[in-house]
Amino acid sequence: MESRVSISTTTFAQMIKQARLHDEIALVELYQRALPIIYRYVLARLGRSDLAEDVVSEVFLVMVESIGELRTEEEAGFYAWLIQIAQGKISRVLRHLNSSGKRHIPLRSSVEDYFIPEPAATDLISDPVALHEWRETLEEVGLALGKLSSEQQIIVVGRFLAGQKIEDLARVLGKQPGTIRVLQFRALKALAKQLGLVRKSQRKDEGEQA
Amino acid sequence: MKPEVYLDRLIEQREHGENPVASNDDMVAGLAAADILTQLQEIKVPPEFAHRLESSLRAHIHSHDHSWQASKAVPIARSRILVTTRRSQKRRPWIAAVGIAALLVLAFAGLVTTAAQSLPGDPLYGLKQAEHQFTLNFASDPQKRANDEIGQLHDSLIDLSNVVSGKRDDSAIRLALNTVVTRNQSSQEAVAALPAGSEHETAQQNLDSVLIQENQMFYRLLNSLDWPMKLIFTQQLGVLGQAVPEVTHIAVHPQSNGTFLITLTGMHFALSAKLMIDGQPAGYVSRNTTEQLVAIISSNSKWFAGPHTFGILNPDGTASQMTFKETGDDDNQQGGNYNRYGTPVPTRNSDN
Repeated sequence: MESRVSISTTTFAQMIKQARLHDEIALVELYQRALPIIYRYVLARLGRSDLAEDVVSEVFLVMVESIGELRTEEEAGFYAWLIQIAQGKISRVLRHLNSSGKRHIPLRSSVEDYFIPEPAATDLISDPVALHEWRETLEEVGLALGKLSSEQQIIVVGRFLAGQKIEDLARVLGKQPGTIRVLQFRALKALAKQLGLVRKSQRKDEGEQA
Repeated sequence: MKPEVYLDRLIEQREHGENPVASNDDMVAGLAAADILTQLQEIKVPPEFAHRLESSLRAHIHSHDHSWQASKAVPIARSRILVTTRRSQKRRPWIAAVGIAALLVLAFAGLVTTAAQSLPGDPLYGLKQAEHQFTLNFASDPQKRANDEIGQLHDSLIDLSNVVSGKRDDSAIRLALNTVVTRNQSSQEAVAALPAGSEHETAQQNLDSVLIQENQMFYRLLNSLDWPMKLIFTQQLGVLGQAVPEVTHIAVHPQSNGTFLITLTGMHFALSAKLMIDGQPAGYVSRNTTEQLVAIISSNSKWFAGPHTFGILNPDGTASQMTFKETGDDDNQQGGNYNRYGTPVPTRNSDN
């Protein structure tokens, strides 16, 4: 897992200001910080590296073109903005796949045709069974994420992929921290249900009791 | 404690490396979902993609420097016009005409904006092309023209990628590819026209970066294309200097057991290349080198009832083919595209 270097709120705000003037260094710095988050989110939603790369490219092109329209100067707000852009582009791709009857191409059957997203962890790569499970999980997470509201997606991606705090997310979304916690709770509950984690945890408990 | 607060506390404890014990199934499930989301951070961004996109963004920033500077001036200019207009409203009745003109300008601007989003095959794509040409015609100096050309080459690559990933028909893909080829040529000319110096070097670096993207994109798109498009893209990769397969000779020999031995000769065949007849995989490849592919097809094969194309498909998606017309002889001697030695002439271009 790569970790982004933490920078102060002031520095990030300065970076946004510079980027609004189309300063190359600032724009590239923003791109480098946001790329892993946006790539992982888009890949999880679409499940295909080729489509994900196209969408991610479009998202960052929009970032460069429209950075002047970004109202926030906070990191959480910046990611939320990019995720919203990505959501629009993902919807368009999914609509097209729906209309062409190719709604979902599972990762495991796309070995020959597409790049497969690989985890960075070497223990997974060296364990074929774990790797297979990982791919299946990723596919399921993508479908489950797609069933959350746009706002819930922004919250869980901001929280778990970008490492943002509840308070930061609350500020950029214009809500109380308590409201964000409720939305996060509901989102995780919905995800757990979609992923069959509720039953799994119950079964695990039952197994342990037995 | 409210469940959402409790779950958030558990998540925070987990983030700090602790191993909190959840009190009920909902919390266990919520924590497990949070863990799975956190695991997404294990996905690595392909470095070549990250590098490619960064280069592309840098080229895009360079190519739009001038237009952004111009656009920054727009609000001031517009506000001046508005001030003048307000004054005029009190005095001049013909302001209505100005208003209508302004509306027309806005409508045109809207049309141009919509056209900017269009893709090859869309009704407004012609307008987008015209707008691009207009920009180039009015480029103030060779440096700006070269930057604009490179920017437009890059944009045309994005259009091509979108057209292919959008599963548009072959005519739209051909149009997008033609645009790329044209932009490629004009970009190289524009950069070559720059006088030697740092500006030339910078422009050349930007162009090289976009050309690398072009190569990579073509290879990436090959697997999403049908057979005729594979042939065309392969041809363009050859123009870009890539080593692509080429079939130069076909021989068909009937065997005593009733099968046919097909021998394709040429260059840059991959060792696991497939024989393709009329764009479909066929036969059993018995021997394969970088210059020759030998395959066997059965006697009851449908392929020998008229002229057919024989080709090879490399695993990377590059392909080549030529036409073979069955004449009753082992090698084709007449009809079709043959040279004076009776060897079929490659029809990679004409078959497309």
